[in-house]
Amino acid sequence: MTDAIPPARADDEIAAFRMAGRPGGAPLTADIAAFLEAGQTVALAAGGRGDYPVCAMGIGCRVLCPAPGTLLIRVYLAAAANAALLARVRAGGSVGATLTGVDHRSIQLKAAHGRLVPTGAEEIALLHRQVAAHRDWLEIVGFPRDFAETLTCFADDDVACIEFLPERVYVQTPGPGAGSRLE
Amino acid sequence: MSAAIDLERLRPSMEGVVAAVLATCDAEGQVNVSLISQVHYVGPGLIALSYQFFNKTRRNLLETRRAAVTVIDCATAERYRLSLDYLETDTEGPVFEAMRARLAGIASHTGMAGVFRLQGADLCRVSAMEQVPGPALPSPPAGPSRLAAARRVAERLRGAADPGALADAALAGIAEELGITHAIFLAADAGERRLFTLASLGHAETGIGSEIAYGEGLAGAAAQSFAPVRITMMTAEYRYGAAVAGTARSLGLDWDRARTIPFPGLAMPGSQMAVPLRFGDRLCGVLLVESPEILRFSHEDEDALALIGDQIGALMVALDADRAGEEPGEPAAKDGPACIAIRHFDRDDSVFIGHDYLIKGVAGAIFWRLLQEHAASGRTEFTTRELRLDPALRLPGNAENFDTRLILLMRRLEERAAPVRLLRAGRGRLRLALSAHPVLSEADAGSSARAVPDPA
Repeated sequence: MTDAIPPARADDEIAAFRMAGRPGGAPLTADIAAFLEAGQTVALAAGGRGDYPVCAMGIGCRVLCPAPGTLLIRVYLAAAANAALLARVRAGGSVGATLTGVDHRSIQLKAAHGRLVPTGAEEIALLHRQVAAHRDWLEIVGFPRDFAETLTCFADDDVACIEFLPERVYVQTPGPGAGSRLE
Repeated sequence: MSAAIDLERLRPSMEGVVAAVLATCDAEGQVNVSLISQVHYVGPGLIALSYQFFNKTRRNLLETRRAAVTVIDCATAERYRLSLDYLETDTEGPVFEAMRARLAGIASHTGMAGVFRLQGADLCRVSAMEQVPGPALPSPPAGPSRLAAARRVAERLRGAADPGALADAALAGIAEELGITHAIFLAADAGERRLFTLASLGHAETGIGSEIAYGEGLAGAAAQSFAPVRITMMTAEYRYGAAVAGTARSLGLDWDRARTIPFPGLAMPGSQMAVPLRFGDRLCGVLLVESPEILRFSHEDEDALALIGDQIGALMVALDADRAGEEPGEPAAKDGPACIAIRHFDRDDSVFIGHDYLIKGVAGAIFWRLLQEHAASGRTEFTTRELRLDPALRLPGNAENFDTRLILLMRRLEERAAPVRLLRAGRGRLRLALSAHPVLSEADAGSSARAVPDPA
């Protein structure tokens, strides 16, 4: 399906991260931030000690820069379908988000805690743009249009948002170097 | 309804079409989340995760032995969330082989060949499951019942009088009842751990007599693992031309195309499935089916073909036992004019008629034995019993599949329009029908050409 799209390499991600500037020692490069907001497959999970984690498919992602060198990640998911995951976050559980592109490029962000914040109207518009891009690449890799639409659709009034400080960032792209922490 | 019963209905979510989300935690409770290309349905209440890299997921799984996975139905986009307890890791056996083949297909289809490689199948018990509320497409129409189709195929097999007729009935049955357009019926040589083609469906070249070793390609994987193996998105790794030649070369073997009957098969299959033909713990053969379409064979097709495969296996054993019980006959007449050179290579019992390769292995040895006996005594009629008991043939074990080898030989002679044919001549009897005068020579033992008595 994706023969025309060369797979990304974890080694390249690590090298690019080391080469790129990160103003104020931010945990992400501008390139990674752009990737996260470009409309990827969003895998989310919340966990805690001694219990099963809870995982879900998310809708999209936003990278905020409230102060130089400080980044906040917001990930969005359907609220009603993911009550257990949201409850786990609310109870202080750890948070993980992995965003994966059509070329298998994959970045994971982790935090010991996150918090739930309201979703603004401008964020809903951002999510629609991201989902449209995601849907396009699902079609490129061979999924029928109706399947891609069903997989990615969401209700504007049913979007929850988890906000967290990305304490650790990992490259998850399959192959040598996969799982390496970017620092 | 229990989790175990529900899980079977989730099988369309475990085709490897849509990546699943997998989450684990470390001992401190920090969650790790990743996409996983394969969640494999093992049985009621059991799934297996593909272990490809020793990464954080793997470390967490071994440390806390708990995970959660979200799988997505490849037809409806419905999502299901499962809580998992890790049990153990298989690095061989049927689950591992089935996953390895499937993963190779997924990798090939997603541009990740050479990156995705299964190291183990992490077996997990499903402790809880729930459907995630959300939009879904309607389920596709159920289509004809595979169980009823399997039953009809089984009924068609019952009248088969020999393994050749059984293979023909099986291929016709799966074509008409299951809509399968391309298939290869392979009989097993347990001693040599090889499979040889007895019949095929839908291919320009029948490939009768072509061989592969256990472990080669998808049919070889089914033979080796003694379990069905299915690839929904085909990969070059399991294609036969490359597999056979590559394996031979990697083992340092002489890849002798002249002595090899090309294996039949689609040049660019989209899907393949191989089921073993089993009776108890005995492997009688493998049925390989393929299609140019991707996602052609479902779990339900696998269920049906596995049932049919075991029915064929039982019938092959029963037919072999029937033939062994038949009584010997007596020598008889002669036939045929002209001359034809027939060469035998002792090292692998390969036989050439003129310059054309005919067959090798046990079938080659049987044919050569008949020709030698004919040369020495003029006999054209033989009994299967004398061949079974002939120490010169060095038949493996208790001559399992003996009749299958005879059928293979007969079909190969017929297909090549050979001037020597082997025909049934009543219960337990065989007849050499000669339209030319065979001149025999041992090709790798110097020139010892020997003319047979004038066939009458």
